Amino acid sequence: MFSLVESSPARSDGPSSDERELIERAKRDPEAFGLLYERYVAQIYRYLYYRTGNSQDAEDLTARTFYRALEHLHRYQERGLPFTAWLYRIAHNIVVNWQRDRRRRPVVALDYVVTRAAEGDPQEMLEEEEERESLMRAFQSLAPDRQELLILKVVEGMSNAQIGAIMGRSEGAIKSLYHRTLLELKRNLEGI
Amino acid sequence: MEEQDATLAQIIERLQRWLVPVEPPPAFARSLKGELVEAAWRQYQRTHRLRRILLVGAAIAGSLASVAGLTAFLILRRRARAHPPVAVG
Repeated sequence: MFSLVESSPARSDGPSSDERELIERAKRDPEAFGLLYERYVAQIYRYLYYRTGNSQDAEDLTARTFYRALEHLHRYQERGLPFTAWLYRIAHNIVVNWQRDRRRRPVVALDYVVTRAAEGDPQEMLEEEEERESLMRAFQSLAPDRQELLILKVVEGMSNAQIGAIMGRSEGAIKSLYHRTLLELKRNLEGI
Repeated sequence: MEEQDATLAQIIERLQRWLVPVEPPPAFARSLKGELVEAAWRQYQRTHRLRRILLVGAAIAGSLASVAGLTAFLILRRRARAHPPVAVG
């Protein structure tokens, strides 16, 4: 049986001292806030890209996430969780509201198709595209927390412990959720 | 069981193939940083101004309270001198 728990780095719950210092500075120094933004913008953008399914909305929601972070940073208090946990929570709430307001499901991203369209045999490309599209549909029909788990696990390459710290669950709960998510994804793929 | 594991391993492989780490367009990231830093400056100036207003307000209120207290003290003293207490008996 293959293991669902990869060899993971040591669990790092709270921010590092360097990060903590930067966060404190960012509360009163705009340039420090700019550095904080630079450190996390790619992660938040990726998360929103896969939650929305396209780069335009991902950009819009990334901007909203950081504006909200700026607005509430003075109230941020470290509670033993990584700073990213706070940012992901803001991004999650924003994407949930966005989906509810527009009553729309995420769409399968087209950006990647454009990137790959110039390469290789058209038949092969078509098959690849079908494979990608079915996977993205199956992925996007998962519950938000399951999508979040897969993004953190697959895209960000985080360990179960790190994901647990971000999602506010135990490492064991993440392991079990990951297994159930894969099974659900398998069922979704069979249904497509 | 093994069959299921193999299928799940395949799904993981597909996920790793298609859920790739995308990067935000550099122009977008740069321009958003500029906007955020500018907004941060405005916000910090606003907060600073508000703090200063509160500080000055508190200082004025404190001064007024002191003046009022001193005035009351002087009035009461004057009254006390004008109408000294009468000894009983």
